[in-house]
Amino acid sequence: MGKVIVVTSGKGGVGKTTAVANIGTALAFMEQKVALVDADIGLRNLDVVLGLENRIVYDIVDVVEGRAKLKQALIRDKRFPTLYLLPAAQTRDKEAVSPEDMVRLCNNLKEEFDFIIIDSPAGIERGFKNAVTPADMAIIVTTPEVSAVRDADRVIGLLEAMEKSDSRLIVNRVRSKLVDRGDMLSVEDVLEILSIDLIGVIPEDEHIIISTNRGEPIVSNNSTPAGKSFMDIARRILGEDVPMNMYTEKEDLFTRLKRFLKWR
Amino acid sequence: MEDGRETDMSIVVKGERSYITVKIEGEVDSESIEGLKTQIEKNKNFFKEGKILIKYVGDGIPCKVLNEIITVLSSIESVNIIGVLTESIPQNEGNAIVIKKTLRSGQSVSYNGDVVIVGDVNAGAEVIAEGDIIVLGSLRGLAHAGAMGNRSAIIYALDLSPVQIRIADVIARAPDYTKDRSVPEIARVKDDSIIIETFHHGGIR
Repeated sequence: MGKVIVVTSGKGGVGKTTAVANIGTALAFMEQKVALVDADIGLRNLDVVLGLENRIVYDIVDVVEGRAKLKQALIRDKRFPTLYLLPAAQTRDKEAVSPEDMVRLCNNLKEEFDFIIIDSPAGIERGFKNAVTPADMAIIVTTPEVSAVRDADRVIGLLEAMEKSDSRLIVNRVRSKLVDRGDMLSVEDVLEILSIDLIGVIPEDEHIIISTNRGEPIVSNNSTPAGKSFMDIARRILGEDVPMNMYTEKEDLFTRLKRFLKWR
Repeated sequence: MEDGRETDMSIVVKGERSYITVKIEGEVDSESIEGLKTQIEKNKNFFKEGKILIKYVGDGIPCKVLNEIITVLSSIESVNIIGVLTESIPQNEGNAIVIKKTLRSGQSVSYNGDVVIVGDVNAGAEVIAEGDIIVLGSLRGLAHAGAMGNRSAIIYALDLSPVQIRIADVIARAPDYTKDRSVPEIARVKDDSIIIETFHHGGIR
């Protein structure tokens, strides 16, 4: 039986879709059978980030309304043979699917897949309820900004009220230099407010922008700081005990020397 | 038997078909209870052998006041108090609710007594109490103590850093600078404004 993980945040633009694409790809890399479900009906993005947009024939609403079988709608990623996507519908809205539909859908997917990762829309309304209801585990994505943390807190409260107890946190887009200067909330500050378990910290990394635009998940390039961090998260999901690492861009000899001298 | 008569601003006695209602509204002081007593004295026959229903409109009548009214009414000859109707639980002194979790953004607690929170009150959460608010954790959200006008209410927190605090009708906002250390603190009203003091061992008041 597979495990259903929802990736949610409350606030938009903090990196939910990027996290889904990369954690999913990383898990597929580790030979897990993964289905990514885009629950952001009407504003679908996950297919673009994965570079699978041109292969969509049927979507989640077609499956729920019985026009297509689940197997027909699932798109297999050619680069990672155990990675599948169930895309959202672009021409419908959140009301087209109910939380019960999502539970039924995920129960079917659970029989086939090791992991079902749901990309939740921003907000706390119907779309959020759809995405969260079938989940066994929630990953909350936040950035080190007061507004994002506030929304994450709200979402954690709602999950608690729904008796979803397994919630983990990703702090995304951390800029160490700003944190060191005291100009950005640190991961510790965020944890103090949200008081839930951390599953990963992702540094701000411009490679993400490039990878998103190209439709190639960043984990396929394992030398980038963000790629490494997402790989670690996937390993933690699989139960490995991976120490929290703040990866930085590889420095050339000259900058390293300069830093060394400064430090002395 | 429809002879409603008003004795006082806050206590109204009214005959219904088979019983008499004593309707109490708003704040009850000793004067209005005295008023009730004299009214009973004057109209002994009206009350005699009557069935009385006590009705309280508003929330959180102090138990002490309710007890006094019941005592006064039960002193009437062969009277039968058939019930007490209140909109909310009578407020006892030391009446408190204990919440053993962190209040997150969007969550709210209101209570007609004291509120004790074992956990944090995060920004975006609110606590409204008719009595005191005690937070055994960080208070970052909104706290309103003495919400029904009790200016002697206090707000206590292990880390008092709310965006805004209210005690009765007095409002204070957080200072623009951030505190560099967190020590237990108490907020209370003094001369029409809220003051915040470091908590010293030896009791809240």
